Amino acid sequence: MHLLDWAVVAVYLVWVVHDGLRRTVSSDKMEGYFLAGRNLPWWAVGLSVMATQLSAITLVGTTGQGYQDGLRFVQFYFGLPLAMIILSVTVVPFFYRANVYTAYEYLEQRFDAKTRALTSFLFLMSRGLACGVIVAAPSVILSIILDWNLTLTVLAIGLPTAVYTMFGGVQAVTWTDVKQMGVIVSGVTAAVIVLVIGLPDDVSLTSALHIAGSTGRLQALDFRLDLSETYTFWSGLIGGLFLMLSYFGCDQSQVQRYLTARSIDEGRRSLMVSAYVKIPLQVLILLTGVLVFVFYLFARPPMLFNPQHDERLRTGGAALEYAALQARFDEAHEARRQAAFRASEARQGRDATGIEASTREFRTQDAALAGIRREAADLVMRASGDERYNDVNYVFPTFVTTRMPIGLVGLMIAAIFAAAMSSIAAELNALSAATVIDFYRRHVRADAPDRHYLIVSRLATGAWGLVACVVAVYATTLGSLIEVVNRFGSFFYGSLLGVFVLAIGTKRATSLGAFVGLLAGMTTVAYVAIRYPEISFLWHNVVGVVAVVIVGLLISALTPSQQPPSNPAT
Amino acid sequence: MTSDIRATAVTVLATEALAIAALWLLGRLFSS
Repeated sequence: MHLLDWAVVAVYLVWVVHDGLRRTVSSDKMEGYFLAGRNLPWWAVGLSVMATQLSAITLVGTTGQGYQDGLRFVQFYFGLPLAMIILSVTVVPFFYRANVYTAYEYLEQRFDAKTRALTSFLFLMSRGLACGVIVAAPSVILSIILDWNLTLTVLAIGLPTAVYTMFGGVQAVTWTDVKQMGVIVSGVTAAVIVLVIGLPDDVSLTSALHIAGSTGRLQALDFRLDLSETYTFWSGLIGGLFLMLSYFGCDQSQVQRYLTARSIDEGRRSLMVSAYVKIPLQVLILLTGVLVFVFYLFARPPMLFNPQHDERLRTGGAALEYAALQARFDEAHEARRQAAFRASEARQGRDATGIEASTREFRTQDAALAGIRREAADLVMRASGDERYNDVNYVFPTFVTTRMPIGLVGLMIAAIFAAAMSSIAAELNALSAATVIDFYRRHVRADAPDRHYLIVSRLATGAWGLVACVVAVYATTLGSLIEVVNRFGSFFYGSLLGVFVLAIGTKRATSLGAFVGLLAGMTTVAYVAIRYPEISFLWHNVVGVVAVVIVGLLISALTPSQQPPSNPAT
Repeated sequence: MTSDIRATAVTVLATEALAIAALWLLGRLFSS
């Protein structure tokens, strides 16, 4: 990396840490530290909500998915706008008026202490580990692509985040999130501009998109009702709706965001930012991946995007076989490049017969090249024993570091850092809130002064930061990074949502019903995941909610009724 | 649900429907 790129990354880090630390003065009370005194404007909270969800995994993995599969992944977010509407009508006023720090605190008001403890514990376990994955994902990729030391990369991302979150609290999280969103969008926009400018002079953007489209990469919608297909219109709309309801409605890292808004109305508006902007932003990120595919039609791509495997195979026992494969790959790339040029020429000359013939030829050459890449991946699997080898997450960082101009490489690396740090900061603050409010203040020391809880909260934030870094260092073997985190969440998210449906949606539900329902929901999801592995994980959320609600209501009907507390939303 | 929230909900859903229609059109236009 050039000195200028290092300088850009360093300036970004200093700027963000300084901006976070200067919020320390306004975070000298518990309510300021965790809820910003409920005084943040809707647009800042809205951008923070988006920044929290957009991790480096999303940025790097989604561009890779765009390169490999095209726009299909956008369907995953189709349930999000509807989820935001439902949440703004239901849980936002509910949590806001309940005057709680954590979502799980309300469950004790409605049910009992053990339901609160179990849900909060599940949040701590799943998010604590997920936080490690969020740090690990970009660290592993950047350390391999740029030949950095893995532990130092983990610390470079994790430590500054832990420091400014520890002192600045949720104010630091929100205001740095706003700036980090700016860095991310600037980086992606710069990449798109470089990609468009990088097209050969005689290939227009329209004909380039036609070439990408001929491989199906611009077909975003899949209306098949196939439960085994991960991303379809229906899995995104229905499964995605339940996942988003769970994530934004029951996950403390998101609930805490809109609890910081000035009023219920501003909390609602903050969710509407995601409802309007999330899908276009994801299309932009996926389209960036499609443009990387188009870019590598004309520029020579590496056969394997993970340089570590490339190096090992080049010098290892299978070197001869790998060299032969590389020669075939270079030949196939040249044939595909010529076919792409011919398809572009035919398109620009509006020659209907030529378009059809050249497109057919291009598809054949593209399939041949993809076949050789599969053979290379098989070779990696045989040589390394890694049966889950997938270099999709290395595509975009490889493009950035080898093809983007000096200065913009630094901006893009800073954007990857920003995506990771914005998510980690929100998680750390929420993990600290759940630890202190749901366990320490509830079960260890209930009557300490505010100052004491503030110190404990800061220590808890730092401790969770250390846990994330330690988990990250050990979580070095990762498959498809987006799915690791989403699958992990899906295991209990649906069940958690089911408990909140029982709490907010029915008066008849008892504490025993909610507790047993939660356990039954998670057991059912585990059974479905193991017994029917072909069913897409997005449907696990639906299974979890349905199981909790049915079992919860059944148990409630069989147990003595319980007087629910007065509804704070009414 | 107040009329204000109802109006927001309709606008959000209409915007999403437009976005999905635009994606469908993108696929139709560039996939031949």
